[in-house]
Amino acid sequence: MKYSDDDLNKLERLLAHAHRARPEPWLDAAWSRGVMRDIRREAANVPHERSAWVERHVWRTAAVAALFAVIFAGSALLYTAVGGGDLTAVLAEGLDPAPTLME
Amino acid sequence: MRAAGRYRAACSLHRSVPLVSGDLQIINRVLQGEVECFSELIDRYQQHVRRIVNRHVPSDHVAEVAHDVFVRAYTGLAGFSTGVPFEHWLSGIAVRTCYDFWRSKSREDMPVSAFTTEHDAWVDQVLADESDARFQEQVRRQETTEFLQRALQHLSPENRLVLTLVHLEGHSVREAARLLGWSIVNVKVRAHRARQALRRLLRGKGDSAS
Repeated sequence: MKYSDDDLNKLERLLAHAHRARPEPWLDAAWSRGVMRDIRREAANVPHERSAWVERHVWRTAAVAALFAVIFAGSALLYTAVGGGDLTAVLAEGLDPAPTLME
Repeated sequence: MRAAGRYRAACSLHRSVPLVSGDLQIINRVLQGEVECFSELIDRYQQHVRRIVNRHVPSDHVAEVAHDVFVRAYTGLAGFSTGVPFEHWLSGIAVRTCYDFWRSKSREDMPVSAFTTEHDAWVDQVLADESDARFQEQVRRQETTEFLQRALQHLSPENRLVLTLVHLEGHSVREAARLLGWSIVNVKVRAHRARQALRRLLRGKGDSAS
């Protein structure tokens, strides 16, 4: 049997309304307990969930600490250079070979 | 059990804080090993998950699929990004769990019920009814639900999910793509094909190769 587009639109609209009007089944406390039982089992089987979280935070902390160390070292170097005079002189001094006993 | 009760009591303190920040606190505690705190998330979102699941799977499978949704949410909790509300993240898991339900059913080679002459008579009656009151009456009738279920049985799991989300529930293509974790183009193409397949079924051609 052939239906017109208007007929099909009407049927589609009816099915959409029927879909939204579906009654919802009730989930009781026993259902919640069953879910938690399985979750505890999962937690016992997969103990690495916590270690993954800890690992992620350890790496973040390490990255932040490294950044602070670089900033601190840079600041200290600049402070020394400004306080002691020429930065290049400080660096050159550090790079100069120590006088040998031959001289 | 006493320890479980203590954790539950501790978690219930968060009921007084705003929903989103409360969710984040509970999630952090669960991730730090306080598994019992997850029951608070179940209490908060049980109704939301049940509503989504009920629209995609038969009523007698809602409890089982909703159960799987929460277990999946727990196992994937470390991947939860704080950039989206927990409810949205959970909705995606719920829809994808329903999709997996239909994929497993299609692998089981479920028999597809054919439309009968009674269905044809019902369609004719629906089309003949003119008034709004009669339309609303038809919405609530068992025949309508049965007809819809039979029509959806003929669709592939992908087309079924997309048709339900976009055409029956009125989600935008973008929302459906986010829920399914698919590209927008994929959902758009599937939505078009699924609707064509449904219309072919309604026309009585019974196209099952969708």
